[in-house]
Amino acid sequence: MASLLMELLHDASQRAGDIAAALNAVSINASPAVDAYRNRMAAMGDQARSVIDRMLVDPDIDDPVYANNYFRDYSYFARLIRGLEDLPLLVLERFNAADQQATDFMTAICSESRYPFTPPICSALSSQYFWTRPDMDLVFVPCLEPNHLLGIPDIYHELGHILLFREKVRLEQGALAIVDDEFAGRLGEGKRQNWPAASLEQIEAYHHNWRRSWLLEFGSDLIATYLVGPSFGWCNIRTATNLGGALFEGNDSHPADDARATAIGMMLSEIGYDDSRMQIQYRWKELVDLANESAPHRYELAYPMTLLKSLTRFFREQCNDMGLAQFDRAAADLPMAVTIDKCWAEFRNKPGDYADFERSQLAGLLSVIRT
Amino acid sequence: MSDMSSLSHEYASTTDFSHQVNQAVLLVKKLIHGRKQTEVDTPNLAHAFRLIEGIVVRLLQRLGSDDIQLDDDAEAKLPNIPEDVLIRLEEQEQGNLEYFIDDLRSLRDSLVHSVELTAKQVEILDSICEVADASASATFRKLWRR
Repeated sequence: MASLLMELLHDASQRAGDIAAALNAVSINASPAVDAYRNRMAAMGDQARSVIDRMLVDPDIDDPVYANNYFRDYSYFARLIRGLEDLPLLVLERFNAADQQATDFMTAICSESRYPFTPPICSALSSQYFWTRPDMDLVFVPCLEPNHLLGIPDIYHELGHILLFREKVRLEQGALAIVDDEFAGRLGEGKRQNWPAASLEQIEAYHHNWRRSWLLEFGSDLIATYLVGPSFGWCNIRTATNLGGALFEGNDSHPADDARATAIGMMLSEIGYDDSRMQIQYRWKELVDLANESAPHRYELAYPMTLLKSLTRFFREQCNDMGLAQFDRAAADLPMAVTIDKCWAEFRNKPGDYADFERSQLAGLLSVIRT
Repeated sequence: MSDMSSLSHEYASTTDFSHQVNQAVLLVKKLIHGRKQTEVDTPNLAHAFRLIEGIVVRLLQRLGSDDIQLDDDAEAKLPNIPEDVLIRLEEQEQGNLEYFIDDLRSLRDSLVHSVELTAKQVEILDSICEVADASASATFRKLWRR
């Protein structure tokens, strides 16, 4: 009788094969980019199956010395297979015009930004606002967003997540060193000044949050602002408002909206849009007043200004060194970023008449990026 | 922008790390347990030892060991250990931290001087794999809301 691990591996092999076959069988009436994506995901399924099949004939598979390691390997592939079925296969089997339009935006954004990897594809199936699976090059957007342009800056943020994942050593590790230095300094200072243990623990807790997720959110915001300019700042106000929640309160996964707005403003100043930073900051203050909120005691401990400034400079330099195209309102070769910028300007000037303007801009933009 | 991105990003990093370290430890164990070096793929083995040594150095740095002096270049080449894995390891070894640091130092010495690893050292490596896998599985479950 086969061991449990052998049974599980046989099951995983069959499922990986089924998923690869289903991906290959999907009839796609979409752009070549989507077809290429389907092929990549099918190849991932095939590769998972062949590795699992090799494990099945490995003479050491039943040796108790290696049992835990093989089981962990199996778990890795089982999760990968589940991910392929639940995300790329689901998306591709239902790929529609809205998905294609969002993917066209993404392809154009990647091309004009000089994004150094294969562009991700988009699906307008999201019930969780904008989000991404960075290891699967897949970005989810709410179902009506491809028909509008004011929310598209959030796609740049998701692209930032993928860039941080793909350029982990350059971006994440480099930025983590800055975060670690800042918090080591703060902790040392706190100890020298005999701060209470609870305050020192609080600094360590903030440091963990930065290392675990806050850095990735700030990094994605800073990359997005570098690429799409002031529109990201305006969009951030809209997103912070629409999603609700306290403006000065962070959680395990996301830093406080207010701190993010500050960092976005710093990047705008860095790339030469300080006038926009001031306008956005003014509006942000209006939002803070409307929400009747204020910064809690020792807010600065969680989001040191020196750290936000260092990270802004770091991400600007890295984006520049990677050859990414910095936002430029006058650039002729940034149709996505410049059109979104125009839309935000028009919306702010004439919010009541904006819908017609957006429709005409959208039509013009699609004709440019699809040729 | 939603929590899903943050979780997905965390999951992608953790599962990659977990898989890589597990593969490396499996290769090293096969070498120790009598498989001929040719059977365990020499270039991969060299990579496995480098990865494990890098992880041990990162752990020593994190746990406050003061005998790690690296230049910027060497520092940049060290693998990144996901924060959740580090926190779990710290929690696991909390009551035992000084011994754990000593064990890691001795493990690093063995790796640097290509000395065959002891059973206890392999046990430490397996425990790192276990914690990394637990972290990846936990994040995956959060993603799938189970």
